Amino acid sequence: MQQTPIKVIVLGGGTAGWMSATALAKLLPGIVEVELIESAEVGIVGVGEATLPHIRAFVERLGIDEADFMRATQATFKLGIDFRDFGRIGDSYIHPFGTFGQPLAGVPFHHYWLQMRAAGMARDLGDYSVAVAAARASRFALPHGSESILSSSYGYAYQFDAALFGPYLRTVALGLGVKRTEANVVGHRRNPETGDVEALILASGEARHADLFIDCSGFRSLLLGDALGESWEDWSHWLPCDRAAALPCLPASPTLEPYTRATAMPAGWRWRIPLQHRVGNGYVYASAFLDDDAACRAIVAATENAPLADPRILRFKAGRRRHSWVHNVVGVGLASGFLEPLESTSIYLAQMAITQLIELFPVAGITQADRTSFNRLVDMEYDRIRDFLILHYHATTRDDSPFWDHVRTMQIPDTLAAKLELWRATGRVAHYSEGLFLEQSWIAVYLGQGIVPHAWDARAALPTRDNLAQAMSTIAREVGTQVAGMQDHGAFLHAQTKRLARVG
Amino acid sequence: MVLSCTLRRSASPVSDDAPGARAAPTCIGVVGDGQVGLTAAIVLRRSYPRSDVVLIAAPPDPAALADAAITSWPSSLGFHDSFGFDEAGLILRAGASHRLATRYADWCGAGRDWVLPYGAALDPAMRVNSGDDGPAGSAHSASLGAAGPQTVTQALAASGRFAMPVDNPESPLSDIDYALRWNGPAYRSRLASLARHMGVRHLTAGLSRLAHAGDGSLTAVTCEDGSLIAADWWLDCSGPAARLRAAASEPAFESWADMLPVDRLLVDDRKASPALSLEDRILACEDGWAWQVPGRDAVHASFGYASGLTSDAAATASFKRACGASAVGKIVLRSGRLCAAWAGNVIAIADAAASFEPLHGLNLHLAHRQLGLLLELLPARDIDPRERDEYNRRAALLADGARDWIAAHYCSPVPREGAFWHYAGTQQRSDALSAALQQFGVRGRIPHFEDAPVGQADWAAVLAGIGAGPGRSALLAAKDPAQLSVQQAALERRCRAALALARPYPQWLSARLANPQ
Repeated sequence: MQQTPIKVIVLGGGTAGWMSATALAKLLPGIVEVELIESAEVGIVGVGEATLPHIRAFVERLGIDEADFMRATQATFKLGIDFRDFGRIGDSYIHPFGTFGQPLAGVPFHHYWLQMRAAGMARDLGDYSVAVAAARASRFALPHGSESILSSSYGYAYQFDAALFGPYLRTVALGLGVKRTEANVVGHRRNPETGDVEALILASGEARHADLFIDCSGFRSLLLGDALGESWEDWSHWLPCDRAAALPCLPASPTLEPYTRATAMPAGWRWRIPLQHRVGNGYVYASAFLDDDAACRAIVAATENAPLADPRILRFKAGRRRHSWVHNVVGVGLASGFLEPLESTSIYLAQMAITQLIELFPVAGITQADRTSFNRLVDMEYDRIRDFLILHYHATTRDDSPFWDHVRTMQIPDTLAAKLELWRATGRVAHYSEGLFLEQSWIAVYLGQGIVPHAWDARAALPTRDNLAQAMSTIAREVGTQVAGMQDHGAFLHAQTKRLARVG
Repeated sequence: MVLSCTLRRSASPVSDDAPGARAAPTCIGVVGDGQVGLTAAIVLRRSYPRSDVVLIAAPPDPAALADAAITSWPSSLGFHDSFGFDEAGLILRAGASHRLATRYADWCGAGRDWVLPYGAALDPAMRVNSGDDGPAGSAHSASLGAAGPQTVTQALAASGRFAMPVDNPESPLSDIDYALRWNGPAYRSRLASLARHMGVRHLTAGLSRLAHAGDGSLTAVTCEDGSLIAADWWLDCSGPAARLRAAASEPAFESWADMLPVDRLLVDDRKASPALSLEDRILACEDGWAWQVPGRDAVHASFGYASGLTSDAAATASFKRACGASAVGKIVLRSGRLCAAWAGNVIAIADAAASFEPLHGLNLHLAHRQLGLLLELLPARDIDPRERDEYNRRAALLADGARDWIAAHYCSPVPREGAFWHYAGTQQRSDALSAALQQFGVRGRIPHFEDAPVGQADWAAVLAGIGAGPGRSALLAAKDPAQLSVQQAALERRCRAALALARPYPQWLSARLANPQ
């Protein structure tokens, strides 16, 4: 540990940049020396108002107090996402951070549910999930691992003001000794032999040297894309949404929902994210199918209450760099890839890359094996999430607009087609132990969007109908009891004033 | 002549058009009635209590190593539980004894032993990973130069003391995990009576003819006594000959001959006196390894070597030198796996699907994992090709994972002397194995492998054992040494507390046998 610290420059002071800088400084003290270069002239996208449960472990690892963090970012709790009008106009389902029912005799619950549904004897799938039932009732309690199976059958994430998250982490990072430099980067210098980036050139003409560069420059991808020319794999033919019109407003009702809402629109979908003091709204749309003015009008019209600002247009494109770690440059966040926020994956993707980088951190020089390990994992995460997102568009009967006609009829990736075929024929979910969305998530979306398998596990027909009905209603009853014991989400937050931002 | 129920196949309960649960099989045939086939028949009968499950004998093949296994891994005990095969019965009536660890003696040279203990005892704080499957704490402790046992199980094994694990994570006994060894014939006979009790139809007359349909699927078999069995689908548990699979056409086989060195095995059937020990011992000899499994019936020994380097006579002499054993049987091994474990309506299990040297008794463990996977993707009466593809994809991951873990034993950067070890060390390595060696060597980390049959702790123990690391990760290097020594001290306290709660194994076992409750 007496070695000279490894010098790391993080380029970009958005969410990904400050997440990277904070994590490196906190988890590798003495090993790294971190400098973050940001420019006030460059705006930040601040994506990801809604998060996934994984962020809790990240925040905890950084030694951040949850209540303090929630207060600073006006955060609320999130139990899942309510998808409306996706499979069909009028349909609604919640993709929860939790499970549905319990397996019986080694057979997953949904096979029994399908069996009872065919007999007209099943309740809504969400009635067998604590997370769904609690979300629908706008109730919340912290999960408890030890109390019962049901009280640990769900997790939670946060809905927060992304524009406040970066600055919050900046304070933490500066406290950990991260050096912040306010400057415009105008160029770079590469080693002619190795091709590694040696230094960034600032507008002042000054050069900033480092051993490792983390590119958090957003879509501009200044190092990974521009400097190293890493090519972009474009996925817009599968995920055509490339703009968002964002519009915050005041809440119209006193109910504080512990979930994000995603409502399908004629050329995309809109989000609704309830924070402590405002509601985030935005229309994610495909510019090939809708112009900006129409999108702004649509989001203003759809917003429940007085807007707090004019709609702001964000531009993006779905895809990823072919490699995220090239030479001594690691892309994190938008510089490495982008997937629309339909499943709130943006912050997760940055967190995943940072966690892997720290796992693989090159203390004794970067090797190709490390880059390969990192890139394999990052690619796998992106590719599997991509398939899951495409499913939300493709699994639909909507034919009410050219956009939905396109996504309904487009050719999907082979990897997704195989998963869908297996599901349709057997009710089984292709099994992976790695990656973000696992069996329960796929079940939620498949069934929520009306992809009912043609056949399912033969063992689901073995119990008598009465026995099965009784077992299922017991689960639903216990779920109901569990939720009835929870507090109203708003009341829960207000009872814990340490989590609350000061009003005003 | 026994006519199977399949010849009067009932109509499907649902029409082909309406969505519904798939029809359960009318009849399932299992060929090979060793311990693997018996287990398969029992779990299938439990899954489909109204289906006819017919178990057909096949001549025992000594090269069917999962059938010949007298031990498995800890997870097999949970699998036993899942089909009502009680552990108490194995201890009382099948001579079962407990293994906490395996000692690899002289593995990287004379006197250079290492131990692979079961059980966690991975202090969460010692893990650098925030996830559930962080690298092994023991390996990290080793990288700190800590001497002495790194897990509770290892401490118990070293002192010959035992206690049953408890559920309470506060107790040091909760870290314990163990495997069982047993008397082979008694184990098999208990399975046979459970199968009978469950209503498995066990035919002892062997196969005589197989009948295939035009699409290549196996429709019926005729036994030597003339009985005819027709089944919807079949499990081939007949050992490496894969008699059902080979009957239609020679199945595509992926050889591992250039990845695993051992292709011959000597077994000792001389009834060496029984021995009670919590440790197995694998002794590295100049031309192979000798594995000694102490048991309440006898000490069972086997010797693995490479026929290209060592004659049978020389191997027999080495075996005798290593453990005083006289070889009575020689087994020819053909390492590798079927490219597709499941083809048509025949699913190959255990040595029929994947065959490899029995180092550390992985063969039966893998067979149990294959059966677990089959239960997860259990076919209905009619086979769905997508389900079959998914099974084959995951079964290949399981088999390759087993192969890589065995191969890892031979990847020591400083192998011991001897042509065998030189040969073994120069064999091909899969990408996954190379990645594990590289990551562990540089930073003590085991990559995540999907559907791995061997956990990260067992990977880390082997790689640390052969001296391929662990390197120090940046995360570990960044840890406060004071904090690490506090953790180390806590672990040592935990080991001492466990020792105080445990009893010498012979005493513990006598008490257990005297009081089966």
